[in-house]
Amino acid sequence: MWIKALRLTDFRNYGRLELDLEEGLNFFAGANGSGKTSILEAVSYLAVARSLRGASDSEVVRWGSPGFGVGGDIVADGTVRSSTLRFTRGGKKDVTLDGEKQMKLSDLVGVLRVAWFCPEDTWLTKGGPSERRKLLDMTLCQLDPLYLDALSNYRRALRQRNEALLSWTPDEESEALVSVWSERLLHYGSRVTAGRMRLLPRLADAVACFHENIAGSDVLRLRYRSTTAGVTGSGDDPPTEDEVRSSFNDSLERVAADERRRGFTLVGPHRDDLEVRLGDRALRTFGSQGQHRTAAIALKLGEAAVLDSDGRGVVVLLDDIMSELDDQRAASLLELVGDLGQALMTSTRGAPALAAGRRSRSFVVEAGEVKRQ
Amino acid sequence: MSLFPPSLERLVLILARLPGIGKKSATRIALKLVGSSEADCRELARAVVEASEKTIGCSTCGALTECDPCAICTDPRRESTVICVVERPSDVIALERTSRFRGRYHVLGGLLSPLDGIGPEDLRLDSLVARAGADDVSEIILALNPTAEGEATSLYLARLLDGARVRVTKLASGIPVGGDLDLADELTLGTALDERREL
Repeated sequence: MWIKALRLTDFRNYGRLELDLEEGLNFFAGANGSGKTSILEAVSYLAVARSLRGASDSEVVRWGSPGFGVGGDIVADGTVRSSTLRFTRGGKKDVTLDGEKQMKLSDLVGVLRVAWFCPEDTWLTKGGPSERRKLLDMTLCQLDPLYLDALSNYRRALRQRNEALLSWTPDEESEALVSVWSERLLHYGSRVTAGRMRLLPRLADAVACFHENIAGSDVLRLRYRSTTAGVTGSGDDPPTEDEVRSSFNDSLERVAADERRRGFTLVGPHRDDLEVRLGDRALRTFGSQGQHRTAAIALKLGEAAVLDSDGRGVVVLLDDIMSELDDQRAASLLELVGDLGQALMTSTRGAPALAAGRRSRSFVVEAGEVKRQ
Repeated sequence: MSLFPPSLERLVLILARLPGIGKKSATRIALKLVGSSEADCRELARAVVEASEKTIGCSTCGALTECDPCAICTDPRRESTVICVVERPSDVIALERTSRFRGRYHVLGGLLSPLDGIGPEDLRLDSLVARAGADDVSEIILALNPTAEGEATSLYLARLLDGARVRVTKLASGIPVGGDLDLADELTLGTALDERREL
């Protein structure tokens, strides 16, 4: 799949922008703050209905505007689909596909899939677990609308339950309230955990393969570390939703007293981690700068390969990766992602050298204006 | 600086507070109103005031009515054995349009949501428990939205009504009637599969 045309309305520093893109590499050059990354961010809205840069919806609205819109013509399976996402401040996000308004945001899932690479990726293996959970979640959300639904409902139920725990008092009514939210937490949470565990073997294989190609040395392994007793493992034999639910329930009972004292939820997929091991050691505690960088690239390439596993292609977004990689490494990464399909790449420097025969188009970005070069 | 005279500007702002009406629609409506006759405007104003003064919540079921108890609660032809629990008065209207339900209603007035500070004491629960305890009531149908809040509230109600000798049921969710299986989204189809029933 690839994006033929991209349209932005009141998005970040763009009032109105229309871009015709190339099926191969699209290169955006410009100074810091000129609006290069915003273009990639807009694309991420068409794939997952949110900013993969981590911004909130109201943050990306152009200053003084009531809302924003992102639209794209996406070529896949021999047809062109036109998809639009609109957001109004204080309101909801609406999705339109081929001119028809959709009931749910998850109707967008699968129309466009993206893999986002950025310099902060090195924190994937160095930093806290939230970035690694995000990697799993964003992959699954693009593959499975049921997962997207379970995840957003889980987040909602979690916030409701935390609020109920915060005002908990030792009486029957208070306990009854916490318990209905525990039930919702278990319902959506076991779907989330089971979904992640099902993905793990596929992701681990792809990641290990890329890592071997790049580093050649020790094997990179992934392990899902769950705060829910009994579901920790390498995921070779992933537990069913019912199995996860039953151990999640046991864990909630185990921490019940503690949760009521501290006023928030202590176990569940929102506290789980994806452990990355190099050889037989946890990479996070001993890895060198270079090992972290290689592992992060392998993880992201693995994600992209899993997203492309049905052969429909994935659009690769490369945000300023040349600031972190030297020319040679950047070139070999470009070659690897080139096999996956269309790429949109930003840089403060000039366009990279490309393998012969690769189609590309260059743009110059300057203060909210994009000119084709 | 506004382009409109102050009174017109004020009208636009008030209209824009209404649900589903943005600044643009509000401006269109306001311009139409100031262009119509004084009689038409007075009629509209009178209708707004009259509707808001006369419409009250039924003291039995909570639905909107002009006379208390409401027409549904007092209709002898409706079954008094089944009570359908809904979130808002507008849900009563939606269910009435189906002409399939011949029982009575109970409007909760909201859903449990600790985040919005809505607890059991903010919902019309005491009167529901009292109604469910009446001798002739045999079934309570929970017709709440299948959201996190709706499902949590349904479970809370099911437990609350556990003591009463009534059957508690929930609306089914599944494939839209007249719809095509391959057009149904995965979530709807998955739920329909989970909640399948014997033929």
